[in-house]
Amino acid sequence: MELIVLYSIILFSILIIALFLYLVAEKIYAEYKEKRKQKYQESISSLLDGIISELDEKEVTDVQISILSNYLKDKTKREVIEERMLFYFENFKGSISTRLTKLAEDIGLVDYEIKKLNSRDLHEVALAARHLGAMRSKKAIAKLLELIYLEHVGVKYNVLMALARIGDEEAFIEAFKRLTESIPLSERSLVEIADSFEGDKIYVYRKLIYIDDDFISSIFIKSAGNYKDTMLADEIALFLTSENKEKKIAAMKALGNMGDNRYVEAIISLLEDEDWEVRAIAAKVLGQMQSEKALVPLAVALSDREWYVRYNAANSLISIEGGMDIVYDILDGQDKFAKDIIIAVLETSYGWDKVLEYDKFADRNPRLSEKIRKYIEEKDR
Amino acid sequence: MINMHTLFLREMVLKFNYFIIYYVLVINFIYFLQLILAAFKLNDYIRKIRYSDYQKYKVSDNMLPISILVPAYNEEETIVENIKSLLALNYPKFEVIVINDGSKDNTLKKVIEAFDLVKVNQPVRYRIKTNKIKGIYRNIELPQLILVDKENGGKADALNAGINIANFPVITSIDADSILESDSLVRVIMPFIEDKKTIAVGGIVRIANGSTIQRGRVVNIDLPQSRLAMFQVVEYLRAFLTGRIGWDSINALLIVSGAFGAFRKDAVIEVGGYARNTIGEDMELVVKLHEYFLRNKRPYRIKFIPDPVCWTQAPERIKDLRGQRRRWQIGLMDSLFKHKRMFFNPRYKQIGMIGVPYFWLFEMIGPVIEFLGYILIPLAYFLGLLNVKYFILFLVASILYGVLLSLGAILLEEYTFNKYPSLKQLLKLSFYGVLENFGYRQMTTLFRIEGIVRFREMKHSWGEIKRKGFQEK
Repeated sequence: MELIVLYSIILFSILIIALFLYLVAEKIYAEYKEKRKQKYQESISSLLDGIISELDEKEVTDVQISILSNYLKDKTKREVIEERMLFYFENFKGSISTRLTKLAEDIGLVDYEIKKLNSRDLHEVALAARHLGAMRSKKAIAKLLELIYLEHVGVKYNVLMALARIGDEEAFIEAFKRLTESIPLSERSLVEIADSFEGDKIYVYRKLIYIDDDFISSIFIKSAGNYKDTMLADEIALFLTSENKEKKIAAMKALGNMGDNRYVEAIISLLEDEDWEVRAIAAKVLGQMQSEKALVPLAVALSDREWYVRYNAANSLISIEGGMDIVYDILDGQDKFAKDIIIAVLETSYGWDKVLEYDKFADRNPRLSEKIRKYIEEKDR
Repeated sequence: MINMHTLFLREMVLKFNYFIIYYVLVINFIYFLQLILAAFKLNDYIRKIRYSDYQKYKVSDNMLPISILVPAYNEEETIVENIKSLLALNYPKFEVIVINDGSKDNTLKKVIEAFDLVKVNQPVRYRIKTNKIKGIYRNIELPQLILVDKENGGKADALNAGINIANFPVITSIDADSILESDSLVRVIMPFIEDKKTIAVGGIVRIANGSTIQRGRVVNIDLPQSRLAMFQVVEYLRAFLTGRIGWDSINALLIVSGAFGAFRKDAVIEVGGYARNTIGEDMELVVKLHEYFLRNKRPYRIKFIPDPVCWTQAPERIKDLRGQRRRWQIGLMDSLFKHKRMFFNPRYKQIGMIGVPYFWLFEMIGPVIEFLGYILIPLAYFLGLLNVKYFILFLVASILYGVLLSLGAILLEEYTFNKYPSLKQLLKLSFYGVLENFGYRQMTTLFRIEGIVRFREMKHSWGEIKRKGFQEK
């Protein structure tokens, strides 16, 4: 017994001392590395800055490439170059970006990162994918596509994001075709990746909105909506009659974002969908479309059994021209649900501005604001 | 006959003493295992940050909007500053819902006056049953802020009322005496963005006593002057940087701190919200989520991430500390009793086979065993039942294990986030890491035992801590 306790104390002490020594060693090494970096920082940065400042006008000379390639052989110098190059990629857009990519390829930085994609350390792989995405080199595409099958959230996200930044349409489409239903990434992160695609978006959307996988398809319908190019409206509108709820919702949101009101009637019909989430989005999107045709159906939706539908319908109703007249009449009616939701929306900053504006121009007695106050007083009693 | 009894008694006392030694050994092995797991996990996390895209999401429309729930009960001293700091958070789309849970002080009045709020007639959907909501207050110029005034029903009831009002898919609960770092929300939400199975995420809670606060922000991190708070700094580092991370590494996190945690709203509503009539609603919710999702064989993840920091005030009076620890112990026991069917039940995987049994055997019963050890071992020694070697061994082992664990946690902190970078701070932390084993630890054990003793009497009560306002400098 005594021995067990003694050994455990020795073991734990060794563990803590080892941790402490590791910490000290790590800090000393970090400091040493930082000093070495600082030593090269100025010379390498000024060389790179000089090259980049003339990149728009002059080709990079073989001598310059050779110097930078040689630097890459040294770990510290390579880190300095990589950090600087990533800074340029982050901050310089347009034609210079293509030249920067070529420079990164010529000096061997892209190859170095591609090599890191073979690492067994998945953190290294994810980081390399991120860097390759920033460098936007097509050389990395084949290797990145191979990594799509790796079941690691960080790797998967950064590989897809890298392909989005590189902007090669076929590679990006292929990557999403390879994704299985068990993809661990959330819908929002995938929409973010789709939104970040830097190639021909219309082409990609046209291919991927029709993909068999409903989840991926709805991601690209949503992203197309965020892109707001009405060229795709007709194709997206086809999904308003889809049997898949997600696709239906994505299509409505996309058309709402595009502000294309040719499909108002189709969306009005969705106010009667059996799924409340579809009805709620329909009510919201009708507000974005600003069509007077939606006023009466929205007033009907104020009595929907689902709170979200009523809430969205009320918001949309007050935002469309002529909606405030209907609101006035609803407050005269008997539907308590409709009245409550209307009052709730009118008490927001947007809603109250609408009330004041209505009272200024409408010739109705009593004034809407008085009517609301009276209703609230009665309710409080 | 008397000799037989004496021999039997002597044998029992000796066996119990050996049991205590083995118990202490096992629990410390578990702690050290957690420390090792935490070291790996932290290293993993630090490397992950290098390729995390969270900066991009700070300004993205695709970021999840979030409802911040702030339950407040007699929080007049800190509530206004707390709300100001929340409203200044760096996040694309969020709302702050302050729930005044029938405070007896001026909490309601202070918030209304400070933010120029007026009563509105927003209808409430009671998706979770709560006590009556008396009124909702808003300022049309400040649409992100909603104040809910309700009848007193306890913290869980207040949080449920907040969930009923919340507009966004993720909710986070923050204590009214806490301050978030500006990027904390983005970081705590990233696991929901990265992994669709995520239903809850806990962040680290650190102690703000001693730090400089300006306009609701921690601008200079320092260690507290108060000794009691200083002990708690070390304790929190140990609890969060080794305990929580250790549990997270085996997917068995049972506690997401009530001071700062984020949950998917639909998941919380599905399990019926926070349990009322319990004072450990934070642990209870997490255990309930585990049980529900495992029982229904639905994939899910509950995560802990160590760097979205929430700063909180540690009690500086023994009386408040006593109340807090008593509450924690009662909350823990209540939750374990409610979910006793999970105990060593393979259906609940690592939660049923590792997490829950650990909490039963070591966190719940631990204080009693420790206390008995402090009494029976010296007693056995003085009665001549134990030899001096054994007595000293027990004393040295129990103190040394504690010291080593605290030092381990401090070293992990220095290695990773290094919030206390100066040598003076490191030495002060280490000194208190040693000192806490001589009195402070034993004192908190006593407070926990009081929780066990008064469990039946107090399990439904919601105690009060006298908050000290954040010292603005």
